[in-house]
Amino acid sequence: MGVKSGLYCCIALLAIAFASCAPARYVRPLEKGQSKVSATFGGPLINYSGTTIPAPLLGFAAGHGFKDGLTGFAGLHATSLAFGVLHVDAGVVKGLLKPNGWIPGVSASPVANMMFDKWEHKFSFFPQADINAYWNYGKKKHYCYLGLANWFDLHSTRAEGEPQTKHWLPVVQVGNTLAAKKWEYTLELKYIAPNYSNRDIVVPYISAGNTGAIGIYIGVTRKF
Amino acid sequence: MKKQILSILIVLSVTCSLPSCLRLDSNLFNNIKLDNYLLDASTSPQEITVDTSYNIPSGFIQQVALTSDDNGNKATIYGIYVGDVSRISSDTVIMYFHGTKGNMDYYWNREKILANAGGKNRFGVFMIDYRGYGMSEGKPTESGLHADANAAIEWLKNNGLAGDRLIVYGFSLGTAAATYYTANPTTLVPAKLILEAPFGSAAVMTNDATVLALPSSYFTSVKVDNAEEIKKVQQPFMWIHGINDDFLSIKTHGELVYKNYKGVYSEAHRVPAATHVNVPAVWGLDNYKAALEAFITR
Repeated sequence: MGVKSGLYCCIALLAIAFASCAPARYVRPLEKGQSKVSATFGGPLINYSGTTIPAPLLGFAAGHGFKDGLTGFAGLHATSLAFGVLHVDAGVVKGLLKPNGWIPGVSASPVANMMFDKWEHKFSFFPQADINAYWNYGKKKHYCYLGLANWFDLHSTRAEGEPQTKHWLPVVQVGNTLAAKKWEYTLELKYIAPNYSNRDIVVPYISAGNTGAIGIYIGVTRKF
Repeated sequence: MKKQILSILIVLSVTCSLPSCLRLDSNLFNNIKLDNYLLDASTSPQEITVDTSYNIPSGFIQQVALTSDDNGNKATIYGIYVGDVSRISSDTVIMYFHGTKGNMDYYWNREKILANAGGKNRFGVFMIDYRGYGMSEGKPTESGLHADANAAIEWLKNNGLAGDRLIVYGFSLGTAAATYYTANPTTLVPAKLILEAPFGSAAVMTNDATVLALPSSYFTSVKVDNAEEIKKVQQPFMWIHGINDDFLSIKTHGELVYKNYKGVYSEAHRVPAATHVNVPAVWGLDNYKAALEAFITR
């Protein structure tokens, strides 16, 4: 057998985790003056030593409602940090449409993802644009949502100077957030990169077919 | 609220200051330690089976111990030479660098196949366990891999081998040792290079896996940069790759290495229906052996 082993599964696990390491940030815009801090856990499902597990990825985020319908946020990816990579994201959530009965609220979120490693001091930047529809329920405290996150790779070349032909990495996401007085609990499923084959790429991702990867994430949020 | 945010920031700071030293380097190696080599008696699962016609006379199997020095990190490593050691000074020898799994017991059938290429014991074949594999001491590392390759070829030289009779063959992980040594020879300059299912580099693997053009340094210090090292190789080069390689894509890995070769002669064997681990079997052992013999003797 060749190298069908740990390194490459782990690389792949972590690599895709960079692009999908947290549930969607603040799908429903915060109220003006409201702040939230979140911890998130989970990741893409992989077959690791015969067992299907979500990648155990940990992240933190904080958001603040600057005005009604406009939330700013920033996130820190702790698992990346443990590997010597400072990975942060920052963006805003803009409410485009307020929910009204069965008509969902709609929010859009431009995000900047930035990474820098302490080993070779390489910096990466990936812009991201998300759009989500959400439905309030339970006296409007809880909400469920459906959305599309889009990562964009602006590089013209990839490893070894070969052309980078994959510039769009979409992620379909569906989630539910249960809200208590001070806390919120989120469960989210992602279908990561459904437009790309997951064959012959060194890691046995779990997916619905031969494309992409499925991810499961949980989030706990404290409201202020 | 400020107190609460401050508390959370403190927790975050502590979390963020945890030792950021996790690397995936050691996961490159899927080694298994052994107290003794069992070879034909091994019950280790084999990906390629051979019949008894491939058996090697016991007098032509020699286990040897070598000292490998990786910048002062010395380890005793083990190898198995198949052939007549006393004839190394006149024989052509295939230096075989095996893949990442297990140890030499696991690759014993492959060594036997090579020892039957062109007729029984037509060529001498030398295989080693890298440090941390089988009976070899130490822990496997990328630099150790290269040091172990040097030690193996040093042993061949000490037994009379000349570079013009040295054929370097690498499979999968072993392509890193084979390519690097051929590109940067220290003891003997190999006559020819054979790579089966080579990887382009850790960077290619990273990009394949993530879709995004992320640097491999985010995950590992391992380079295994065959795509770059092959550019230095001038010797005749034979590339073998399964078209259905389900691990190292023939397109992103093998074709890249083949494309980057700029030496005097190359031949490519893209084997239909073969995956990462079964090229000789799917190609047909006779076809495989004939192609090897033709390349080595051309």
